[in-house]
Amino acid sequence: MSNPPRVTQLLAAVREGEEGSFDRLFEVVYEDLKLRAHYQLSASSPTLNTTGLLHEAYLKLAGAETPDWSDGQHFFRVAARAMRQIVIDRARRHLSQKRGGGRAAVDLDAVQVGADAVADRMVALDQALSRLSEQDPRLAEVVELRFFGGLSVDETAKTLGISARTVKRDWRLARAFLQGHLG
Amino acid sequence: MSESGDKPFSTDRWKQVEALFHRALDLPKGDLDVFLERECGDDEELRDLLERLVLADTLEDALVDHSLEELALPLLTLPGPAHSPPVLDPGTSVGRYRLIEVLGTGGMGTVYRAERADGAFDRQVALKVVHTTRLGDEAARRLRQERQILARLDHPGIATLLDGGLTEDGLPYFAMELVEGASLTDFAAKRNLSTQARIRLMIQVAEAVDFAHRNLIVHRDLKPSNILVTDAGVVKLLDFGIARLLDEEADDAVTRTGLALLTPEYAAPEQIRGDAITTAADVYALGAVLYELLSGRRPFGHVARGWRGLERVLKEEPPPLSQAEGLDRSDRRALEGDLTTITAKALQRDPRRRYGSARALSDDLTRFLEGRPVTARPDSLMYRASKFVRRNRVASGLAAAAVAAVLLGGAGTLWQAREARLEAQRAQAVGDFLFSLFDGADPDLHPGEPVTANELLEAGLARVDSLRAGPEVRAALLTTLGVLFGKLGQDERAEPLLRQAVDESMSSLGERHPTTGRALDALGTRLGLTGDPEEGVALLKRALATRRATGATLMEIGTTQGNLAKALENAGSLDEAIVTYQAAIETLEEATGGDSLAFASELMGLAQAYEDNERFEEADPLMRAVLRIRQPHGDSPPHATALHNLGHLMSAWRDDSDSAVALHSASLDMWRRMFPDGHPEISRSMEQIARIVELRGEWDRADSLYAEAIAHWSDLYGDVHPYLAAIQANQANLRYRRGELAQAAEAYGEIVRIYRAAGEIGALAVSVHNLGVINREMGNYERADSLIRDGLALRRSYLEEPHSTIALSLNSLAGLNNLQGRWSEAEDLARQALGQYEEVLPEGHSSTHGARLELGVALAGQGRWAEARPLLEVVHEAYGEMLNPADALRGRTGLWLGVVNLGEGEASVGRDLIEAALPVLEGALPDDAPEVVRARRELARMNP
Repeated sequence: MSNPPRVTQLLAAVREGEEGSFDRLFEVVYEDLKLRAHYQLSASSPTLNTTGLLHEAYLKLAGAETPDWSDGQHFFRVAARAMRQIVIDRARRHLSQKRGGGRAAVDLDAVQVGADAVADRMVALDQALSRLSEQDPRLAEVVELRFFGGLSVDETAKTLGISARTVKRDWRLARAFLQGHLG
Repeated sequence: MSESGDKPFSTDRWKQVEALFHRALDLPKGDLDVFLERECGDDEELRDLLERLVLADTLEDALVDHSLEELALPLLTLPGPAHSPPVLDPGTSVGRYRLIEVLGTGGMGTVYRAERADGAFDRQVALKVVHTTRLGDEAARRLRQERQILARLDHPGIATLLDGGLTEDGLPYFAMELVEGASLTDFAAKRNLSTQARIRLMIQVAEAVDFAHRNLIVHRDLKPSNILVTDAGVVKLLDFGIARLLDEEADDAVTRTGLALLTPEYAAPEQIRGDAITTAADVYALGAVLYELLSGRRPFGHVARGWRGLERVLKEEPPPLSQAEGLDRSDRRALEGDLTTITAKALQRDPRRRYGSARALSDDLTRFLEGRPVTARPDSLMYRASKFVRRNRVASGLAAAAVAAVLLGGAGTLWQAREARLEAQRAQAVGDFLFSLFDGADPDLHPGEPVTANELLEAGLARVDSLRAGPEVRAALLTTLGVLFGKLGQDERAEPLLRQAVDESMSSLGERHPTTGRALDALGTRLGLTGDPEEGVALLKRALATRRATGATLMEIGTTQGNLAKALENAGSLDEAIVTYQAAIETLEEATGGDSLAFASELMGLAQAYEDNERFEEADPLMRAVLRIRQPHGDSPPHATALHNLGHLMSAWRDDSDSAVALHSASLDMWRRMFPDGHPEISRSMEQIARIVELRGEWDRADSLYAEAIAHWSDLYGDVHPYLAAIQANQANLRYRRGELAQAAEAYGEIVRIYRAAGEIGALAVSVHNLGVINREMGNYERADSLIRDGLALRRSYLEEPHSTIALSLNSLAGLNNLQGRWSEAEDLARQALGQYEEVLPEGHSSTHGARLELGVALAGQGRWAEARPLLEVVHEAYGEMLNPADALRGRTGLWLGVVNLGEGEASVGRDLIEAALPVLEGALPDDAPEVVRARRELARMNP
């Protein structure tokens, strides 16, 4: 984990488009969010509050009292990406453990349960989202921010510097695209 | 979007798609065709894509419509944690005990006073039922093993663990010695104890903790409520090792870090971070308890919970003891100086800066009571000087080992001088004997054939008894032969020889003899690897003690520690294994330097233990260090294995499939160079790569890699080996998923043949069943029926009913009968399946829904709408949350619930359900599948 000043600097670097700064910020935010998710989930009645996580992480890492959207913009983009990575990492790990080691086949018509089914669907979503990103990066980011980052339409609009109406339109096309790929 | 979606469109084309999509959404229903006709003309691709997008837009329940919170939760947490712990009534039986009354409840569970139900003993016990973790069979088995290790923790200051197991609901329970007493802090407060008296209690606590540590058991949840003091002033620690047991048994990484169970006020920073937990965490907790006992305040007050509090523990030092809140001036003065320094040293954030052991803490407290200078210094010069030298835990442990060597050196050196001569004689004798074996390899006995190592050893064994040798040489010979048999994979020959070696050495030379140490090590290592790891652990602990007491070399000690660590790992004691690997690494680094191959082996052992414990961040650098050490030594099996292991880590943890594939490929190449004629690991590497690229969606590449792995393996071992069947099954399942049913069926035919030949009945049953399922998908209902029935018969031959896999076979048969309209047969089978599922699975388990669905369909098929409806409604709702919207099961449920609604006159509800189900069924099933046909027919009837 890093000290707040470093994140502020990184944010400034991202804002100025310095090379590699997005990746460095991503690393910091990824670790921080992973830890925070850990705590939320380790409570006696585990919950996962993505929106809360992101805002908390922002306040803490960027050392800001209220989100300044010029920095928040970059931060939430990074954070939503990190959240996506955390969930997908977990899903892949689940799947790779499941399928490890030359074991006998599983019954083909047993219903996939709970974590299995979710892990499969998450990995599929991740792949579909990557394809969407090749086609139209902004649509993919709208999904990342809203689904993985838990941001509202307005927050998403501010973060991407587009209108709320555009976010809604993007969302609808992205959703249809993903549905088609996941179907 | 199917295939064409794999390549992005040009920006202009996508803009066109985007614009048309949004315009299409605003169209009145029914105008789409005209619109598309007009806009797309004969651009089939565009038209097709838009049609699909618009259709997808109308589908409800997209994955992204759900919140990540609810979706990902099952992935990130254990299934079904018990929320509010139910308190069991007095008189309830738990294992062999009957509950008498509740003694207390805590975060982890409820503690009862209990007695033996069978009256075998009249002693009452404290029985703790843990509510936070629900365990499966495998975990329960390991729990039993671990419990036995804990039960041997026999110390007056530690409440003995008597028994443990699972309640009927699958909750772990532990029966412990019942201690009548008050918690440490209550005891001190009630009696208004002086600081001196409090310190004396604390010394007792630390000594008990130290005893456990020397037995390689860490408490991990020390706190005043776990430390009772009897009226006689005797300290008893409760719950020793239990936090770790539960922690380790939890199936999920998140809970496995210990966060689920720890008490944050007393938890060390590394524990909160989820890092490796060692004895140093207990030292920290002792410091926290001492702080509270002396000042009445916890180091971080009462706010250590929650994110803010945890963050403080991670980032800040607690206020010095003498500045704890709420102290008056005279309190402050009393706590200034040594006591403040001592607590500060125990509470260091960095584990390396704490006391090296609980013993060191209690020694310092004793020194304080006796008015002698304490060792703790506020930021001592020594620390600052050594800080640069001791760059990590390994190094600091080394320094400690060096100090110990100087202190103990005298005794050890004397021993060694005397032993060296004997050792030389013994080595000579064993060497002579082994050489003599080659003389016995008489070519006349084996004309034209080389003598196998095995024959050689058998010949040697025959000669041991006729050899006139002293007991020492005899035991050494037996040990050597046993080890060699073990290396040839002859466990059944190795074990009795090694046992004989231990017995003879014990009876003629005694426990504390180097030869006994070597024999114990060999037997323990063997059992640790195969057979009974728990006994292996016990033997290796003895071996270690003997080796230490008889002046063994650091190399020998380190090797035994490494063997012990491996045995602990196999016995399921991961944390203890990790601590022991660390010790082995320290010893071997001292013995051979940080770049020896022996050192690298134990480093890899530790790395794998970390990986098994999901401490990937720690495993990663260790594996890379192993590779760095092995690099200059060129190709070797351990080197190739190290590449393989890091490759696995990269795919399992980093999801860096490119690196993973590169590493596995490097490993594969190395195996090929070393074994140009073939080696099993060549197949295994190829299979690994295949699985990674399969997960990446590169199905063609995966398929051909599986094929290569299969070909290589069958060249080596012929085509009957079970591992071959396992790779083939991976390939067959891939083909099944791709809809290549004929190829999948062909592969499963082979698999069935192999498992039948190998007599692996469980795997055979699965494969026969799967072949049946594939035939069902192909529409070969008769063949499917007979295969699934064969699978069922196989399962019944070795499983006891009720059993979930028998229920699965029954349910698959029910489904097959439903497909053929044989409703009453289906009903009967589905009822049997549901009955068995309900007996063995928790309520709401997805498999029970599978049986409810088939039963519902069978009833609907017979027009028994009222009976079918509640079943199908439950399943419809459950699948809606659980399954991919495109899953055929969801389509089937929707169809049949729709049919029921039509039957009961709910025409519009029925039509909506079937309209939604039809595309799902069409997407998932062949065009002529009975349920696709049925859905179309129902809709056609309504909309003539």
